[in-house]
Amino acid sequence: MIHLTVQQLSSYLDGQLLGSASDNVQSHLAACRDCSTRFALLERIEAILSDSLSIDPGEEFFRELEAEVGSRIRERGQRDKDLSTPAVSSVRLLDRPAQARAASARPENRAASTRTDAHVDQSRAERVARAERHAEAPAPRPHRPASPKRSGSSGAWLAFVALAVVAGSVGVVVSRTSFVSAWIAPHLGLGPEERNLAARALSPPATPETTATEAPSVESPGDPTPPDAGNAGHEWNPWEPPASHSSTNDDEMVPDAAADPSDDQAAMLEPSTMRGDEVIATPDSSRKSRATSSDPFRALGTESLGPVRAAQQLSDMANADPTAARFETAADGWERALDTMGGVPEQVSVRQLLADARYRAWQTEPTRARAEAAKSAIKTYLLFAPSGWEREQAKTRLSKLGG
Amino acid sequence: MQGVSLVYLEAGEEIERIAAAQSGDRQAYLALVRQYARPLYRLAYAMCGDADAADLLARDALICGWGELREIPESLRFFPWILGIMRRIHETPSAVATSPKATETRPIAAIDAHGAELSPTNGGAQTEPSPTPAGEGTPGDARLRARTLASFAELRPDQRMTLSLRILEELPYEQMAALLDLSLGVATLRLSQARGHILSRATGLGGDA
Repeated sequence: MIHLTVQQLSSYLDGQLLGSASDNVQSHLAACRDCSTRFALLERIEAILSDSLSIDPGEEFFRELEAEVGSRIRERGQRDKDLSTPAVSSVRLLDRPAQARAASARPENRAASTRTDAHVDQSRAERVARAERHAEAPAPRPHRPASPKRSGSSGAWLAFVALAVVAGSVGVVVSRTSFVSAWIAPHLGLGPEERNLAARALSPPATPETTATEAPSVESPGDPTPPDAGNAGHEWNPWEPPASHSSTNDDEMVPDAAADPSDDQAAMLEPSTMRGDEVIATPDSSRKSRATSSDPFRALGTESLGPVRAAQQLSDMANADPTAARFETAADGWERALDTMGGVPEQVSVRQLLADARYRAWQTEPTRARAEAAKSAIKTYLLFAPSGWEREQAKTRLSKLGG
Repeated sequence: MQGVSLVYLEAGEEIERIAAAQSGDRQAYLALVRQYARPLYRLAYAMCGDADAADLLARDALICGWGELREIPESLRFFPWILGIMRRIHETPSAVATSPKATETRPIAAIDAHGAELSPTNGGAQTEPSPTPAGEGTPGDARLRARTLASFAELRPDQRMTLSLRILEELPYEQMAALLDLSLGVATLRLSQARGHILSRATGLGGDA
């Protein structure tokens, strides 16, 4: 006897068979015990899945979901608006409500998320308003003669512009010499660390953005708890710009001057094109934006590049909305990326990012298991890590984890 | 079946809200969220098998949707589009972390329509008929339930989504195919593949006899 196929059973189950097709299946089921058993099982499976997969968390849940989505898109809208004016965008960097977002992402705190967001938004609104007033003030510009005059003295105008450009260029060149920077630093009240940072910033291979992010805070060894678990979003991370460029903290670590800033890791740490809050909503565009000359993974083959990009996307999402689960998911992504890589140089960067994600997962919500996972990842990274401040940071983190 | 199946907004109203949201009207977008959050969450839960993960997935999709709203094709309704975003997020490698774990992958003994095990030594022939259909809570029922959920978790994401749309939203095949941007034949095939896999894994009887 020719039995019914699953497709026939499936279509019959859904009432999709018509006319003679339906009659044939019906008569076969009446005559064939095997097929009728399978059909009965299909019906039971359907009922089990319907029962198990149906979930109704209630009206309150969806109200909260809508409120949080509203809050987040308002926040995004504000950030987009901030970006449109340079004066405001600097405020934005100083005022990232990562803590509020991290707290609101945790289920137990969702009820309070609206209030937290409102508080953050109020604070942000004040700063943004101040910055906008500043932005609206007439910016100092070279005096432009009125059009009729300019038309009559275009030669003098061009000469003035050329002179300004030359003078500006000379100023920049002069200010970048070590003699001038050494003379300027004491007058500006910079300490040794700041001078070191300034010197590094002025050195040709490093960009100012890189230098700014290469100033992670030193965590005191032996402290069993993170400095501020809820503030994980403000810690340095490869995909996020620094929360503040000020270096007044005595605990600031001085970057290792011997570190080669041109290596892949240093290039990878440039955050200027990798803002998590920009790329989270547009994973595809984030992939495009990463295909730049500063992308440390650009030389990877197709097999490894896909998992790396996916892990970068997960890191973006974790950084934009920091929770332990997200950082762990990002870490899993980096582990998968690592599985596709042989001994290529990029694997060191991946190991560093993996260790970073594990550490930040622990930092966000400390548990013993997360501490062990972070220790393991950091120890493995240290086997490969070149000398430099990244290595020192990893050691500091390891000691903080009790390793 | 709990809750209400997917109900679309009236087309003209939806187009208006999308247009308003594209021009920055957050309330218009939230109206769309209000309309489609339930089916989206239900499908997220079916894909993740975990309420918290489904919650995060649905929120991520809706927040991402706001950022990408300008890219919505004119011919597409909001729900298929936001569902596509959610599937894209879910089908990144993180999906492995949030998917329901396949709890059983070894060959399993066949069971009959009531959950009673069949003898593995006689080619699956029933050793003794189940005296009565197993009711709720019997060992046979619990076994079938566990195996069904485990085998559901083993499905490919596309198969899982197809089956979920059929079971949870009770969509006709044509709507299901349109929602997943598939031909009717492919959607039907995926559905039967999904059912065949579960039938095979959960009962040990084989998808196609």
